Amino acid sequence: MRLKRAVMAKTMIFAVLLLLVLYSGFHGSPGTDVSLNDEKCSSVRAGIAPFDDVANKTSFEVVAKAWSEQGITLFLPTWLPFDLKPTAAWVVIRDGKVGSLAIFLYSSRGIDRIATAELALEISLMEDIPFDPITAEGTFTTIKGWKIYYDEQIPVGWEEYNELYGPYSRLIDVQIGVLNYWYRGAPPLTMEDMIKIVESMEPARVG
Amino acid sequence: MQRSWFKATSVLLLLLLVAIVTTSPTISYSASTTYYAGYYYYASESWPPPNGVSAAIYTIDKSVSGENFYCQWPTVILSYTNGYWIQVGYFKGYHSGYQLKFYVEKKDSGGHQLWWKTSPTAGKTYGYYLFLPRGTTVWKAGVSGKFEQELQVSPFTARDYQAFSEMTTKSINIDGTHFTSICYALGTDWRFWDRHVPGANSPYEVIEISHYEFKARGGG
Repeated sequence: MRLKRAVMAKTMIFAVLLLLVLYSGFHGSPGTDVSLNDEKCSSVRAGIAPFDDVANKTSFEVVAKAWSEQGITLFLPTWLPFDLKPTAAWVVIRDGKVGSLAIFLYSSRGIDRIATAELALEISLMEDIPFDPITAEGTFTTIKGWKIYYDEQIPVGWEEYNELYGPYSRLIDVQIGVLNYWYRGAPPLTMEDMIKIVESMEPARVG
Repeated sequence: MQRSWFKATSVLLLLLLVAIVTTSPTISYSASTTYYAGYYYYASESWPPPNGVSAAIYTIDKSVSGENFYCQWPTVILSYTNGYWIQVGYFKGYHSGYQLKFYVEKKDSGGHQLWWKTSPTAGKTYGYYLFLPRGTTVWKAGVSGKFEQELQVSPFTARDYQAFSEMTTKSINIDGTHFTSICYALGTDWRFWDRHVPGANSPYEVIEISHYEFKARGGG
């Protein structure tokens, strides 16, 4: 019995010492490291103010109706895998006017934050695909006559996303008329899923 | 005797563990403790003017401790959903050895990169700009009269612009913050912002002067 207690006490002391060592090794000594290391900075910087800090959370229908009244036809997917459902549309609404940059979110778990929803669709007015065919590393193609750019693995700059899904997302970017549609898909969504989602896009019904 | 020694040791170790966990500076490291005060451009009925953003920013020199920092900048948003942007500004905090430093930074599909530059002088106002010459896909980032560098990013098209003061803790006081002549570029013309959406996290506050000028205060 006495031996058992002694072993337990030693184990606890060892665990505390290990925690202390890990703690000091991880954080270093604040103020002593003045090297200008970009990796350190990247780990602490979101870098931009999040869109959902300023935008209004509303429904897909509100945005589709407002844009329709401005003569803009919104296309939305009619097929979604993994039981994904629309959870929120983020857009700035000021003096009753609905803005021209909106982010639509889909989730099977009810997630309505931009950084962490499984499927995010950023839509804004744009003249063309925002990628340079000479330097971009992904694939340019067309679907249903729409210009497409996709990349199976691109990094995501939001720490909250990285904690849930890892460092990468799927990207497929579509230009339909004056609107650019940027889809960010989190694993386990595959590139094949993303392409099927784009293939299913139809003009949104406005009630 | 043995038992009471064991109990006392266990309680002490437990207290030590609790103290370590609750005083861990990782709390101030988390992304959720970033504070902002400034302006979004946010084009409401058209695409954002495509060729750039600029701002004149007064340099404040405030006390920063621990692993914290503050920085003030204009930025080009390349994607909100993926968190892609390019930025030029000045910084003070742990990562700059607690000195004021100009910097250029980008996050895009190629990853994150940061370039430290020379030091601004406290109390002076500098002109910061990000400019995409018409017909090209390479941005120019600079501080007037100090430096300019090219930024090749993917994607390269602006979706929005921001001009903000960013802080990692509310203990940093930003009184004296002053952004003036906030402009967008259309072709080769620089024009004052014709709209804005203010944004600030408590305890910070934006004092709106016009679409193209604001002051900010709070913290400390």
